Amino acid sequence: MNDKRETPIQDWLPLNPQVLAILLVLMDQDRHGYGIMQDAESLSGAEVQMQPGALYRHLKKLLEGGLVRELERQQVDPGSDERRRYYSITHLGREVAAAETERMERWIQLGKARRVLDQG
Amino acid sequence: MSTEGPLPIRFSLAVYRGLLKIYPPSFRRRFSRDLAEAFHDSCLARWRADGWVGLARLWMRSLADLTLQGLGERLDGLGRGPRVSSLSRSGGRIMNALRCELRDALRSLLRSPGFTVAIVLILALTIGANTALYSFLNPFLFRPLDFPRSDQLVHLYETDLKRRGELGWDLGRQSGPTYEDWRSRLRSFQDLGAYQYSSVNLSDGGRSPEQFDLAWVTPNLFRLLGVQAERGRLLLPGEDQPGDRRVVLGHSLWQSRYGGDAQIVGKHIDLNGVRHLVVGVMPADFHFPFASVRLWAPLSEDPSRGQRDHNDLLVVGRLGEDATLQSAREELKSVHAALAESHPEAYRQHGVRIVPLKQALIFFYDLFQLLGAVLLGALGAVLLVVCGNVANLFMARSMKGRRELAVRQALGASRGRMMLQTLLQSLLVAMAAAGLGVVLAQWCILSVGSIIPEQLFRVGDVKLDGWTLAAAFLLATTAGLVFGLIPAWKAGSNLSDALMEGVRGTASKRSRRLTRFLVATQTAGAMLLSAGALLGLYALQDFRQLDLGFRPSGLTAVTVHLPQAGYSSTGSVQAFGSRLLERMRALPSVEETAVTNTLPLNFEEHEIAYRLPSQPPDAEPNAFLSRVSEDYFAAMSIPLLQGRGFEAADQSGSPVVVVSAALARRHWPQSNPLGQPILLNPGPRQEQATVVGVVGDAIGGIVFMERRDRLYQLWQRQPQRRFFALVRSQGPEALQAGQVRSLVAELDASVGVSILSMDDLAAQAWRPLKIAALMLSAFAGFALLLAALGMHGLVSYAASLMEKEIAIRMALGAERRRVIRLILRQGLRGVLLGMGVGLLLCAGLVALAAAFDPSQGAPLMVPVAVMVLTLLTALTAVLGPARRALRTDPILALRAE
Repeated sequence: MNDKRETPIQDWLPLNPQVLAILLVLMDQDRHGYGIMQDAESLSGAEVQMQPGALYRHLKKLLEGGLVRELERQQVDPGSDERRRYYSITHLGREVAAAETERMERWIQLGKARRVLDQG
Repeated sequence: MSTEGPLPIRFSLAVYRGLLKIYPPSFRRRFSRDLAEAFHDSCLARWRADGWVGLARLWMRSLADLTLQGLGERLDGLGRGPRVSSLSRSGGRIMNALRCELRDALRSLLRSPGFTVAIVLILALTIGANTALYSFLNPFLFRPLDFPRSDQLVHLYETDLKRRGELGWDLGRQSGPTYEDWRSRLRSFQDLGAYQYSSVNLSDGGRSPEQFDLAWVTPNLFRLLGVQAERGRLLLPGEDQPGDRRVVLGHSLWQSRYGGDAQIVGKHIDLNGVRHLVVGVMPADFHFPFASVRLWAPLSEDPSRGQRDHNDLLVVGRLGEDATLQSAREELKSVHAALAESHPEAYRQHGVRIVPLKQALIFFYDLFQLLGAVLLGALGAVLLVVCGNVANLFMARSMKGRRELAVRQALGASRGRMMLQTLLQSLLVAMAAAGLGVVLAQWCILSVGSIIPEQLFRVGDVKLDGWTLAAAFLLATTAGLVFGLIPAWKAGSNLSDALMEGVRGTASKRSRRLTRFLVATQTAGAMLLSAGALLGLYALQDFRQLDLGFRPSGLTAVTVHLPQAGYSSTGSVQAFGSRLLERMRALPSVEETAVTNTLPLNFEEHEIAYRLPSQPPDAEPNAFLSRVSEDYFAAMSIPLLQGRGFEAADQSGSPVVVVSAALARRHWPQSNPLGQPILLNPGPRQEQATVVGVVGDAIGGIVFMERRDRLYQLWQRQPQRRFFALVRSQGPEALQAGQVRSLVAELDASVGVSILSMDDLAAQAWRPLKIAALMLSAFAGFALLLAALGMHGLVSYAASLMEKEIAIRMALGAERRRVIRLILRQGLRGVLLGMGVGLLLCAGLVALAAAFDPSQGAPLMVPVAVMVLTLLTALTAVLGPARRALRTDPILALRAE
């Protein structure tokens, strides 16, 4: 499945929390796989904990959908010869993340209008 | 990537990498490095933070992750497209709940480490053995040929009607006219092509000449197979005309001899002294007809190819789009019948066959299939026993835990949740076993894979197969799951019963009956398996007793293939042979030398048709034919039994033959074979020869072939350009390969040789049998071990159920002897039942083996031996728990409630 067809933004929604976390992490800066796992965990207050299998399956789908792209392997630090694959969010990725945030925003507004929080 | 870190980390990483096979190959290619890297980083972090505990937690999560994502990805690959927004929000919560359950499952497993280790080991051995065996057989039996629409590719050949049913001796060759007739008349095929193979001397100026296997093909063959050249081009139609000398190189030859020279296409090389233009290089994964063939050249014009009885071509065809194997067979049959009518002398004794190409290419496909079926059958039986075992162990364990389950349920745990527990436990066990099994399988594959000769055709390499692993894993999990679930289900359904039973502390009738049934199944399965393995060993024993008939030690064979240029006359070949022998004899360590055109144990044979004048004309027995020089029998240490060997005077005058003892026994059991006439190649070009000697039976080119009928003719009368020079040398100055090479180079620098030690050949010939014997013994041992483990587990479970009963009986003053008898009766009832069934199965198996090879008779020892072994195993399994039960203090046993 290498065809990078443009899926309409709405078709991506609602996003799986793990996928949203990946996009949000990448909004900040380009990261490698393990870095995404760590940042997603800390960003979500340990609510999102991903294992490598889940992460890379999501990444595969995001890459195929054109929400994320892969950067050339970069030198991690000058002292080592270790090279890692870095990922970066695309314009489409940002749009999808924004659309998902808007969608959630609408639900939050709705919840507030119905005074959900006050009834607790 | 980095692999540093303490040993547990490195070990974890190795196991994790093995387990990554759960993902489909496309995903692995893309991400396995990154996955392993991320796992490694997580490992390091957890290890530094929490040590062993952290590592164990990480493994729990990773196993769940691997299973869910790996299977998910494989399912995606089966046709469902990628979906990003697919996982529901509740996914994370489910994962969290799952994590809790996983932790509980792991704790519960670790509470009974003996149980866990036993079950993991048993499963790992089984998964490993199954995966290794399947991976090993895969390239030979299951994997389809790597050509487009390979299902259309077939081999067409004539069969010798007289030898129908003989294993491994069926594939025939055709003459040029037969091929041409087939090609012009058959309509079911898109095209037919032909080939043959031989070894050639390759020289090209700079380097010393080398021998390689080469296939001579009709130029259309490549197109028929549907392959492309990696570099340059393939042979073109019409390039088989005399004078057009083209050749295509194999990838490995191009790499090894020419260092991947980018300019190779357009250069010239010499094959057997004839210049050929290199037109192309084939891709690395192209092997045809087998892996050691490294060159392809057009079938050269051979004057004898016009003769209808000169059979030297192998014919391949591609079926037309509408044709089936069946329709093609029928058409070939009718074409053959028409040909037989017009040329009765050429096709008198022949039938025709069409088989899928793969089946034809694989050496001894029928034997392989048989061996594969036997091994897979044996492993299937092992798997059954293992599943039974795993089931038993889980069952016995969860029976013990029934009260705990019942209490938990009474406290409000849902039945689904308790079943999830059991599920997770068997999953965890299976995952651990799969990891270990992968390591085991990989080890087996590496050690067995390296000794498979290159001449055996195979599709792709022998390597670990992901799907097999997944299948074995699934089966193992299911076994644990299904049987683990039954008690959980029962505990859920009948809570009060379970609690009551706990209070009673004795076994219910139902659970006893179930246990007995399981013991019986176990026993019968193990008996069948051991009997199969013993039968296999028995058959192999027969092979081992086979006597080679010659003495291989100190014997060296030098393969010589003289080029056509300079050696077109028989005189020149003969002269070269004599000079070579002379030079070799002059070496200090050499005792004997000789020349032959066939070498024992070298996977080749020549055959000759013959007839005794006293036999009717249509009796045309075949014998193996060896052309040998005068000193052959002395050099090989084959004893001369009657008459004489060859002499120099036999080179001229009327032809003489020496026969093997088996052939002499067949035709002259009572009379003296010496001086008897034999008609060789009966027909228009027949020749009469006289028997002058009888020699001992020596093994032929192929170790499995039991026939030892052999005719020897003097090599010098019809020397061929390819022959073997045999040298027997002894002592510390034994012959060195370098000496031989320089000797040959002195005689003719353009001749390449390859050197074989007969000791090595003999060892190589026995090796498959030794491996098979080893595997079968291992199976038998494994089966008994499994049965013992299973019986032990079940019987001690049964005994533990009876513990209270025994204690009461003892407290009431029962005699020890009577109690022991009770335990034995209870424990052995299932065993005896199983033995009855097992004995019937064994008898069936023995009868089957006897029917398969009537000459051997039924080895009645096998069922008897199996029975004795099983009984001994059962007794040991029962006695242990019986003694323990007797030693229980009645007070303690009663107070425990």
